[in-house]
Amino acid sequence: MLYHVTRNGQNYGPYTIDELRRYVASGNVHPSDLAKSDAMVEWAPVAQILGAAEGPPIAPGYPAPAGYPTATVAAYPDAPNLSWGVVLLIGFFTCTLFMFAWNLVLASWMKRVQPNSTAIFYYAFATVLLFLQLIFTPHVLMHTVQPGYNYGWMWAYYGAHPLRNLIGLGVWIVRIVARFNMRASLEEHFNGPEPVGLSLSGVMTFFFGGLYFQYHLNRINELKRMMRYRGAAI
Amino acid sequence: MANALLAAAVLVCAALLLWPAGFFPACPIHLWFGIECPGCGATRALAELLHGRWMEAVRLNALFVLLLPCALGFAAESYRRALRPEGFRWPQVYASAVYATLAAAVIFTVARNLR
Repeated sequence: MLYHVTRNGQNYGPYTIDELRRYVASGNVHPSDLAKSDAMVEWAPVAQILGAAEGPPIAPGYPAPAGYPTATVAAYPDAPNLSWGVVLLIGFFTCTLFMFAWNLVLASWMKRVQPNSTAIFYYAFATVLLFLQLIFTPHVLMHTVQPGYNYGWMWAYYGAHPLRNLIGLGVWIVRIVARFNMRASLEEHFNGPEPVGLSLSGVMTFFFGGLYFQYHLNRINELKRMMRYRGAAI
Repeated sequence: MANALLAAAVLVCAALLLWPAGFFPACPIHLWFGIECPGCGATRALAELLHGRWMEAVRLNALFVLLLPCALGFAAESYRRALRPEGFRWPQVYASAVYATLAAAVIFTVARNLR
């Protein structure tokens, strides 16, 4: 079956279901874009079409009866919807400390909707390591360092202590492990219980982690909101 | 949760008012890369503001002082929404405002490290 896709009044396609899935994975088609085959009566979000194609066969063109909008949309709590730009901004002004806190918020939500997710443990471990590292760095803690002033054993011992750098390296390694755990859980959830065809890039996950996840969660939240409105309107 | 965060914010402000000057949390960016990030000096600037020393606060982190009223407005609106019975949603900020502020933060960071 061939599907046409529409976005901002422009029509694209027709595409097969496999092509549609590939374009969603590559980001060329958004799950929230509307699509329609010749057999369908009205336009439906691409995510819904892909979800229906993977689940039990649903007669095309016959929307869900009123009162039973998409069960998958309502069954799970929405991800935290703070805009990714605001997350980045607050992260900027808290010397990235907010990012650590926000990752914990995202990972705890992930644990609620996908109980087998282990990302929360790694993010919590990374946060503990970060605080250990900060505690081991008194010369950074004391901003009003006066040149020539004797700060005693703390300065002498920790100032250039290799443990500090070792813990710093540990923070980054655990963070990367946490990011890829989170990515796996997100993909598992958004291609299983809530099928929106989510595909996350490994490179973006490596470099941007929680910020990149938040960008996609913002998109998915918008999509879920739209599907809820649509479900209510039917 | 909202009340716990409000209590934490009050505690932080009280600590900044009473804490001996010069002892503040470290910046991980400064620690890892040795540069001043946009947030460096924000805690000290807040402490100076709480002591009523505006000029000193601006000297420590001018952009933070400039954006503080917006941040307080955002926090107040978030708190108000958290108390509503129909469930919490974060306030939405205009994307253009966020991008403009991010750009300002980048320029500010470059400028303060070139000083």
